[in-house]
Amino acid sequence: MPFGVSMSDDTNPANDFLLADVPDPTDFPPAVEAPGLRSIDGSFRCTICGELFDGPVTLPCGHCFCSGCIRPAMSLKQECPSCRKGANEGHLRPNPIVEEIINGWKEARPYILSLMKQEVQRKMADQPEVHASPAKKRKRSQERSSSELGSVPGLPHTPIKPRPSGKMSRSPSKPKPVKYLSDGGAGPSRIPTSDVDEDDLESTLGLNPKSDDLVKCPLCEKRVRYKNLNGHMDRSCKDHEAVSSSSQWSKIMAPKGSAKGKQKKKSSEMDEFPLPKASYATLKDKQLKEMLQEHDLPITGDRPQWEQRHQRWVMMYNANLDRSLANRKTKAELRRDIKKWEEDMSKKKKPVVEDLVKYQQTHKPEFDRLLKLAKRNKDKSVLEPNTAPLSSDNNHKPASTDASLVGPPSSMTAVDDVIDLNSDEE
Amino acid sequence: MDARLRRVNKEIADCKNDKTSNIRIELIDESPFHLKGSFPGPDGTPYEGGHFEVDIVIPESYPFQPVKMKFITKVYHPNISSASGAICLDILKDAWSPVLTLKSTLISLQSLLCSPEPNDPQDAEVAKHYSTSKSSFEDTAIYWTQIYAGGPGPKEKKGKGLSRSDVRDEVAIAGLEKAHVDQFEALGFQRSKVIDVLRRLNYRGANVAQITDDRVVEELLK
Repeated sequence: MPFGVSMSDDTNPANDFLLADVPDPTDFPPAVEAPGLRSIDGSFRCTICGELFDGPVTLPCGHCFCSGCIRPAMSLKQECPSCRKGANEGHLRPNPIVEEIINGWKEARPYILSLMKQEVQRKMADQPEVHASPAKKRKRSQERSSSELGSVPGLPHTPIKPRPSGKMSRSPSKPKPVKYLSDGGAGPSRIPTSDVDEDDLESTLGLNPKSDDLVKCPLCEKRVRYKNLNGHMDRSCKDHEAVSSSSQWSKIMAPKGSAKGKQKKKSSEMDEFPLPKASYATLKDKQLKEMLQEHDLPITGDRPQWEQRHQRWVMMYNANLDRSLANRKTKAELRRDIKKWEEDMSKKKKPVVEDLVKYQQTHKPEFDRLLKLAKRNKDKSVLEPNTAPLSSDNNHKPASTDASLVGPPSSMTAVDDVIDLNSDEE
Repeated sequence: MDARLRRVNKEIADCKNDKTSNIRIELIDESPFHLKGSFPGPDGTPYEGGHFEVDIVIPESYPFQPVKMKFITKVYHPNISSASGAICLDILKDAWSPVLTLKSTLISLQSLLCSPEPNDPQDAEVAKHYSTSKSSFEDTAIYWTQIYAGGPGPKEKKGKGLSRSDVRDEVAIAGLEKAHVDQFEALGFQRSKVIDVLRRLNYRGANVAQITDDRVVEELLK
């Protein structure tokens, strides 16, 4: 993101944050130069976090947000943040189409940006006016750009750029040309998985499954043996088949390659139902602990921390379910995320002063300085009582205060000013 | 980089790239969560031509909690404290929405200058002034814009011009008539005290006829 903030002090550490490269729509040139690109990138972003949609959900009013953004917003106010129409978490509906678009855009975005960069370099190279040092640079960039251009559709074996993220490769429906390019580096042994999907598997099993065949449970979409299906559904899909399913999958997937099996195991690990919110006030400590342990969450800290942790977990867990299967995180990943979140939270918390006397002693110079400052300000306000609320802006035009207007110290006017200030504060 | 930082970064970039809105955001100190926003006073208002600066503090739970904003530049406006710069605006309080940005909030402040809401005042005295005599209020607001926000000052064609001297006119700052202040000063009271009392009594416009001289003297003697 090429922008600098006019700063009096270049060594300001906050500059790092401003110069940090955070992708946003302004990476693309304005509409006059590249029509549509900036607005496309802008509309693919959640208006709460400003990132490309992650687990997009739609509200009844049609507005779309990341699931992980809208859920905390709704816990504060039950309305659409954009149009303020009433809505609650129960109204959230995952939007798989938007998610697929985003998956595609995540790959297309760096590709388009690199093409645009090449275009700019090409235009620069066409210009006859040449300086000594840039010429060298341009020559090199030209060479590179020509090799990169060569790798654009048609020559899939030259990887154009590193795959943006490992997660994306699992996307079931990515645009073909881009996929080809990004998969190019992985070697020929890699089979494009997107074409073989669950539906295809279903058809190979046939319409009349045998008792040992695996079929998809219509309720939880897990795969269970046909002969066990009725029992499975009677137990509300809650049988302990995680172990058996993984062995089943390794069996069924053996001829097709291991990558697929891994993916299936992951999805079967996740339950499909969102967690209910808990009313913590009615829960005993023991119950709350059990609820945390149920999800393998730590029970360190005190009760408010447990409640926060569980609340956050429910939010993250449910938001994760709004992602498509391919983009979904595993429970272990979620646990890692919540751990990081807790660490960030504890960093932000102000340090609690345990020993007040000791704290006072160690920070004595600072306190003294503040006291002196406060006293001086107080003296000043007594000296210039009448100018206090209306023209206390002393550094604007220091010499301009009319001497005749400044009255002698008077406790009466000082008190009046205090009252004025109070009435201003509403 | 956490989500809040990323969002603030994007918002500043957005302001930088938007040349049409005339809204600027700068850093104040080493914290990326303490910023200074500024915008020009809206045309066709007493604030026209002024440059208004706003202190911005971004809270921990931003964007789920509203940003804290107050005017650094002194503003004469019913919904802005003339002393502290505190702002009375619903979106900075309970009507906040996480989709609002620093830029959109600063634009809202700009439009607050266009449309004062004296029925929900932040500064009661200024609000009284506004309701009593709008033209007198506007003269004062123009004067404040001139001395604090670098505005062009009163337009000469309006006839009822305020003095454009470099010396700050305390009477004009308080939004009072020079004749009234002189009248009570002639009775032997301190000028500064007269200004203070008349301002508090809202001795302006139609109110002048309703407040007896005795009442003013009574207040002056207190």
